[in-house]
Amino acid sequence: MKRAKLVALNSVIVVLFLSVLAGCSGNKSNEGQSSSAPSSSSSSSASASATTDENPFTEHMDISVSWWGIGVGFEPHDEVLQKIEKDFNVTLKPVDIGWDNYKEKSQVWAAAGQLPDIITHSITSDTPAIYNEWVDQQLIHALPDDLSAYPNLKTALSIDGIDGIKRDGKLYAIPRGTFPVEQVTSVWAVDGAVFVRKDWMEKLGIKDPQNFDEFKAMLKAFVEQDPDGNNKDDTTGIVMNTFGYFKNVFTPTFPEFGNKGWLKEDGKWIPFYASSKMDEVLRQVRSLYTEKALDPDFAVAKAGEANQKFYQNKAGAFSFTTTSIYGANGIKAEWEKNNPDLNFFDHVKILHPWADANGIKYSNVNTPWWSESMINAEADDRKLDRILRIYDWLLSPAGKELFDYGIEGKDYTKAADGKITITRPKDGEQFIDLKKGYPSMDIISQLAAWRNAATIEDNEANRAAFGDQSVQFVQDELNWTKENTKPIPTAFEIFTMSTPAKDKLSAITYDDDFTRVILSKEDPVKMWQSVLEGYKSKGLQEAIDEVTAEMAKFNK
Amino acid sequence: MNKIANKPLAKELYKSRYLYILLLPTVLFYVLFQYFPMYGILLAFKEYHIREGILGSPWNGWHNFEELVKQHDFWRAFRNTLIISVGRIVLEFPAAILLALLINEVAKQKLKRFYQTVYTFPHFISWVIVSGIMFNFLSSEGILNQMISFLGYDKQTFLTDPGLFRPIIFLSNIWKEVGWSAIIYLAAIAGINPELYEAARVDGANRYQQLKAITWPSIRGTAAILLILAVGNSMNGGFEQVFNLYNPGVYNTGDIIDTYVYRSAFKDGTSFGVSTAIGLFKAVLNFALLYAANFMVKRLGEEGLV
Repeated sequence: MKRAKLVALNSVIVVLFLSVLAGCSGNKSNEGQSSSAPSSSSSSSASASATTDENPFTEHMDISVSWWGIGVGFEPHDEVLQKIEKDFNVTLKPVDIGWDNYKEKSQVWAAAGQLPDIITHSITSDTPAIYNEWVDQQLIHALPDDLSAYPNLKTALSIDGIDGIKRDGKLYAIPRGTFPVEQVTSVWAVDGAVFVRKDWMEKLGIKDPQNFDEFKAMLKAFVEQDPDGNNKDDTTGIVMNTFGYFKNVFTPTFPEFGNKGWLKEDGKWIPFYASSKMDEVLRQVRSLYTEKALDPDFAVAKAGEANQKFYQNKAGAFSFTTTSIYGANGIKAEWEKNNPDLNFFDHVKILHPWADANGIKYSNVNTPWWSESMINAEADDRKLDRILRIYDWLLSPAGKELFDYGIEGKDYTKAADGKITITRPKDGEQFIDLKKGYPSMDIISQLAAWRNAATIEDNEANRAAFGDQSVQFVQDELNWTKENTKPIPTAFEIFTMSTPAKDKLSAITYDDDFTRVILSKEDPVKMWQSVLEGYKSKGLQEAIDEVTAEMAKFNK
Repeated sequence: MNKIANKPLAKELYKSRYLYILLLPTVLFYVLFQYFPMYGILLAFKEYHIREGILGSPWNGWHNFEELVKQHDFWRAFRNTLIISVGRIVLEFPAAILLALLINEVAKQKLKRFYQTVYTFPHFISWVIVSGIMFNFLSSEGILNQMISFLGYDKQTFLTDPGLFRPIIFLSNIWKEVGWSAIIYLAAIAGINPELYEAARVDGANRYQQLKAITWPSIRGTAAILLILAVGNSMNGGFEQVFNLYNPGVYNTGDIIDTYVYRSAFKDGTSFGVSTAIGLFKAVLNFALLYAANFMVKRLGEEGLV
């Protein structure tokens, strides 16, 4: 009896052990197979897709796609998502990434061989070194040379600067365009905005600041003079959605600081942080911080966390983007939620930039794209084709119609002459926000291109979605910047330029260092000098030389 | 001793077979999840290529270590790790013993259990949550600052002050873990023969004398073992805690090796090789410290681990 028990127990343990081992080795062999899959299957499937042209969507496919917050957006599996999945005969598997950790997550997935089919990342914009590495190590799929099957995508991929991210003549990423090229200045011009409580300014008798000192004085007054009149020391000066938006405040001091650009100084092209003009910016930001005009928690708050302070009347100014007034979670809606019965536009306005020493007012301008989609190298050619077809549709007029008006027959009707009548329900005066009914819309509509340009258009769809007052507000801002400002002088070609030493600059922790210097009590300019010394050991000087040499080729 | 050693191994194994079977799952666990992944250490001497895997990547000798010692930030992290670890051993380690002794002195059983539960509970809250709670306490609009400004003083920036980061780390970890760490001492105390206390009382010893002469000597062995383990763990400064609480403003005093490795591997750069080199460096140091602590404890007359 005892013996039988023992034998049984032993055999159970042995089986368990073997199954665990088998599990490990099983994975291994799978990995080996799948990593070699693209090369072996590519030739056969390429010919297959070329010959069977009739219906490219007969085979059902699972396609995994990563996006910031996609889990929440895809969870209700709404009709927009269903439509895409049905039309293209796919199941889209959401793979969530967050704004605070997407870079780390993608690196971990890359190392573990677990990248999704459609990879959302920002390496062509932020860290060309990692892009190069991913291309070299064949983690991502090259796009076909002949894109004639995807006409909309082909147009989108002809944007300025695209050659900068080609490797050996091949493109490995679909840049997420920020706007159609002809609208370069207008869209970016309203990207960075400082919202300010005009009721507080009136109460304290403050006029629009005309220089930095007046700006600082205004923020200090918000902190010290109890603008909300509750007899409590509970207001701060300026808060920010992310630090990126706050940079715009300093364009009159140092224009290139506003878009982290490169500039020519003493005959050499240098990154903005190496410029002597940084000194004044550092002094200004430090003084805002020590004099408490800047949110004391700016360094510890996560992205978007500080917005609440503005909504809840705890901050007088707020760095974000003009179009953020739109939508159910926009500034206007959130502010009015916290201030029932008050109209946002009666209490808040945008503070325009003041002129620099030469009398020029600068507006923001940036790269033609930020972030990109990449396709996992393990996707075979049929999957690649399917993904590209989806992207082509997303960029098509039919796609735009869906994103602007919703689902035909349900949200709008279209007459024979093309005239569109919106039929979706209203919430008070305004049609309800499409994204409220279709949470996946926000993601799907921006997969192939940011729709920044779409939201600043003055058209029926926007007026229906956001209300006349909001659309007019944005139009007024657009016109003001068009008439009064110049875009920041920008060497666009350097953003996507890749040279050995410049690529290594991605290891520089500029944001962290800047924050550290601002929070410290030591002299900021001296501290920055030592930070730059550290950067030199990481190859800053070599990068400057290489970029200067490259730019000389363009006679710049 | 000799007799056993001379017996054939197979026979000895068979004799204690049930014990070995009981041991097997644990051994398996360690082999699979601790020893097997160790081949990753190879990365410290390789230039890692994601597609080629750990074994396929080319060797590059000591290059990763040479890169490492050139990095200024690494030495800062190294220094911080040492300081924080020493602080943990000096401040956090005795706190649990103290709490166990104090709880033991509570006369009423029910009250004793109540305190023990209250002190143990925070252990089950993750650092992500704790950091959120602390932010609510310590931010510029946090409760503490509201009290300070109510009393008419200037608000303080607790979370970004490099001088305050380490005290905050120690205090919050004591708050969170002290009850949990005290359990093992309480168990040791529960195992003390009550007759010893009775005899002491008959001899006229007061409670402090009982504590000094009976309770403390009885748990000293446990404390010694735990101290060795703590020292052996000292190059791990507590990644979860630091990662959730730090920010660029306190890197100078708060960035530890683990957080530095995390940032350099996943956020800033692309070198897994250098990060692994740091990990290996850390492990070797931990091993040396463990041995040193064990040696010290034995010299002081307690039983060590090995």
